[in-house]
Amino acid sequence: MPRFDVVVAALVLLGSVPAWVAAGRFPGTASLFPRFSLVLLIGAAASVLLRAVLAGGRARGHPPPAPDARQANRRRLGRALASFGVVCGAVEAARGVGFFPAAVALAMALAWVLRIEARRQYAALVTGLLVLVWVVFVLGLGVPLAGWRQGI
Amino acid sequence: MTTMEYLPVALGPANLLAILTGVAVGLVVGLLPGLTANLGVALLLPLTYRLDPVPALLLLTSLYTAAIYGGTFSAVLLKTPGTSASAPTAIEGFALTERGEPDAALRIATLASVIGGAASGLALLVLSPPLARLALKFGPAESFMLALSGLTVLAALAADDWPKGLLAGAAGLLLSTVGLDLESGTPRFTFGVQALQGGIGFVPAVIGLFSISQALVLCEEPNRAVQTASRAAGAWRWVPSPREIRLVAPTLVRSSVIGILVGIVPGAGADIGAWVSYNEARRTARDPGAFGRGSLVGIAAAEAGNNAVTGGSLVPLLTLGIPGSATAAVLLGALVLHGLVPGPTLFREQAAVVYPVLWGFLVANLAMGLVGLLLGRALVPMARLPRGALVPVVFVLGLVGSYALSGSVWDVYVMLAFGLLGYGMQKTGFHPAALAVGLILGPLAETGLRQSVTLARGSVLVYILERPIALTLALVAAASLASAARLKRRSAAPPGAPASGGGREA
Repeated sequence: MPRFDVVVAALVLLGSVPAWVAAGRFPGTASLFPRFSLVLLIGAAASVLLRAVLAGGRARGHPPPAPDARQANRRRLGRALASFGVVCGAVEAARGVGFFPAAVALAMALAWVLRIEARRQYAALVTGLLVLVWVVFVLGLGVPLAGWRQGI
Repeated sequence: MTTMEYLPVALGPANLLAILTGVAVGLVVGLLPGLTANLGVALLLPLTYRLDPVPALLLLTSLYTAAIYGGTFSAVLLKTPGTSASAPTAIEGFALTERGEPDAALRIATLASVIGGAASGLALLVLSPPLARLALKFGPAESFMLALSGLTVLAALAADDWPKGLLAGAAGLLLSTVGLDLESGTPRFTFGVQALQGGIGFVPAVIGLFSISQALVLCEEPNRAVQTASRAAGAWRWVPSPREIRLVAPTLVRSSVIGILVGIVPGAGADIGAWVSYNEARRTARDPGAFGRGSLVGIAAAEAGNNAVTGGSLVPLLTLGIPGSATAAVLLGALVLHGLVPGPTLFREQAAVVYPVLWGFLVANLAMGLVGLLLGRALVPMARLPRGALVPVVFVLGLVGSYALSGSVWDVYVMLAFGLLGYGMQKTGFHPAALAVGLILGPLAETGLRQSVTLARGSVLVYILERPIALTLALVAAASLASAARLKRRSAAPPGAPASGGGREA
């Protein structure tokens, strides 16, 4: 995916400029390692950019991927990103309703987003998982999951 | 105390329980396509916060070796390697399953995994102390070169091409500088965010990069059934016959040695060990034509090779602080979490922790075979779970694991951010392991560089390179890169090899 590599490398190179300037303001040897890392980062990004440009040149003339494959890829990506959105929502919801109710809501929302067919298996697994979390983390290790409501 | 005197410590009840738990969880993690050894270790890391260091490390190292072995079950029965290290096993094992002999494949795979893992455990006990004595001669310059060479080698191997690996590794180094500089008290790259002053926690970052990103991959095809039924039929025999043992014995020895050596090379993981051993067995076989059609020798080679890597990868981790694999990188985090500093002083100052763990690792490899024999058939139906059913398991354990460390929702946000980043990296060929290793090795490299600058009276480059060990490390890194490229070419899968159901064991 040379085009994506070009975008990533260009963004890294652009972002390196303000980072370099910011690192220059750190006192004494505090700026040394960030700048060393930036040199590595810039060198690697330049290599990725160069290789992507050369690969792009070689790839020109190759047939583009079939529309069906592209659509399937988009669907897969959409499902993954929607699931991620659901998880982020559950983390926020946990601050209002507590961890366990939010985890149940998360499982239900994921079942809908992912169109889970084996519902019974899924429900049994989620129930077992939440019991396991309660026993191991709350009872066993004393992790204050109830404190999630208080936030950071 | 002598090394031998630590064996009874490893066999204490709490330690045995930790070993058996690690083995059982590792088998399940390895068996389930999509769950990898590094994901399993990352998920269980929070569980060890309140354990003593010995059972904590035994739990994680047992999980590591058992997860590599666990991949065998789904590879043999379903042609879906639980981890990429089991891919060669899937070729030969599934051919045997199709012929109605899955038990033959599983018993040879179990024997080979136990022999390979135990051999690597012995190597850990024998090779680690001499390497640790060498490590005592390390100063700041050597530490800096060590961190840098470890990063360079792992970054180069972890990704599809080395500039992408290096880019991810360098990004990890830069991210490791975020937070309050302890020397000057200056906030670096915090953008005024108070929560960033403590830096980026590597535990939430690692859980995000390995676990959450893998859960997002599972979300892509949630209802994909691996297979609906096991083809196993008839009576199962688990113990290999003397004829079978005679057939595979030379391969077990050779592949164990190959696996240990591959494991010691930083960055060369279990999958490389498996493929190199498999290819070597095929190259030297009396009947190479049997390969691809259910060769017991092929299964023995791959399984001894991949399990031997586990102990080998712990040698540079314990003695030099360089993780030999992505899972070892997570284990590095576990060592630090429990107050152990890998490297020169570990074997001297923490002998009471290190030697029981090494003995326990050996015991874990033996226990793995027994538990595998007992639970194998019971575990088989789990491989038929749809991928979507595993998604909430990974998400919920990831959320709880990152929150449990400090009781802070901030760490959950950090984990989610790294999860999305890791998913994006996986989709675009930037391996998340390189970023994680950069993040973990960054502080070691920075301390080494800053102390070297302070000690050098003139050019810091001259100061570093005029020290023999530092120079040797630079040369070793260059040589490792060259040999790793050769290994990678040799380990290229033959046509028809199955795609792994799990992530790559970098």
